[in-house]
Amino acid sequence: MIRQLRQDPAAPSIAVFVALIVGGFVAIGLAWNIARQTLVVAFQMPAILSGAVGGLALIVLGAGLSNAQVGRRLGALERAHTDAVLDEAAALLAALDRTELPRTTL
Amino acid sequence: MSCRVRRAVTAALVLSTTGLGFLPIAQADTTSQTLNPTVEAWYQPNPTCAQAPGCLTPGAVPAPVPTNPYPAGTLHVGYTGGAETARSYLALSLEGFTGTLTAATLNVPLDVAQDGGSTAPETAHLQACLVNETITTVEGSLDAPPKVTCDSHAVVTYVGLPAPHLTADLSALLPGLTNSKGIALLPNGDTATPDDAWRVVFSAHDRTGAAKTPPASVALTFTPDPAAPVVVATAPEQPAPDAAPQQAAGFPAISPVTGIGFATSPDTSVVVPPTVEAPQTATAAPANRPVAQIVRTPLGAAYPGVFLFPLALLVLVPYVGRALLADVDERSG
Repeated sequence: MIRQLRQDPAAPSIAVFVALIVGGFVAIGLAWNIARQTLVVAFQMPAILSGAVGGLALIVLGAGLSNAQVGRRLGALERAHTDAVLDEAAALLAALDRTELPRTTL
Repeated sequence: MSCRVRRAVTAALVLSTTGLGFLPIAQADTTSQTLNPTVEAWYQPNPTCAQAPGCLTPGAVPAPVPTNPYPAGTLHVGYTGGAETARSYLALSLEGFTGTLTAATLNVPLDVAQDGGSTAPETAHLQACLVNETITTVEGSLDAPPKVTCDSHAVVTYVGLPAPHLTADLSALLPGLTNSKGIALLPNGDTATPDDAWRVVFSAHDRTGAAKTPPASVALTFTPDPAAPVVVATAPEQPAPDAAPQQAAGFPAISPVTGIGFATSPDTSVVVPPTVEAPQTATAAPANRPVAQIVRTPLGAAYPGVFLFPLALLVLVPYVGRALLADVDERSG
């Protein structure tokens, strides 16, 4: 499993994007932790705006980038599978040519 | 333009943009603090001072004279018939202040209910002056008020929205504000006319009841002294009960002169029997009076590591671009 992930060319970037999502949740947690320590709204607002809104932005950004990269990766896999099927068909045709069987039987 | 030049220009723009985040904010070390006066007083001129025998205090007459028909906890500034009818004092305790004041703004929410005495507050012309003597809590006292210095005064203006209030830029008072006992609000003799008839009413900090409005406040902006400890203002000293009685008189003349019919200083010698003491209208200050406190809250980044954020952004953005454009097909082998 780990070996497959290491060989996956999209794995590092997806890991970074997932880290963005995690960072967003951490920022929201920090914002809540700061805001709950005071009742002064003037001190709460910067924490909420910087932490919570910023964290939410990180989550949305990370999720969007992850979605795009996973889509690209799945598309690449689909193309690879299609290529594999075509390669198998070509190989099969080549094998048939070598056995000199009439093509009409196919 | 060659590729190398484009890269160099791009790198320079990115670095300069990132560097904007490191520029210090102007006046970044200034601190703001809002003070609410803990001692307020308002005085009215003694009507007997205009008479030939001189001023009489309520204690000098056989029966006590009600001097304050207005609701308790209200403060008044008034001007009627070309003469001052009331003035208020707000004590600010800044004796131990060691920083440098850069700005100060006075905000006085008004009680415009007519039963509180408010009359045409939108036509009021007030000024704020420095007070040189200790302010004690009195309401509608006929005694001589603490002396004020109006050589440098701030014009107080009426603002109707969102709620009626008075506001004043106290920049003119900054040089002497820290050494003064507080601020006096009184009619502005420069702009008052004989036809003016107004009275503004606002709440003391300890006023109770549904009609209470927020107390007056002074927003201070200052540069704290880095070598000085956090300044905690102390409550102004209250005079001892057996202290020398105040002069029983009307208001002394101030500069600019605002009052007509007020007794001047020579007229303040009052014929009061030595055995008769004027009742102390000032309420005794409790031993543990709440005091205004200046808390130093320097501006700046609470988390010094925040400077890494633009650097991380500088790395992340090109990485994302490269990752989304790179080939994600299976590696050969």
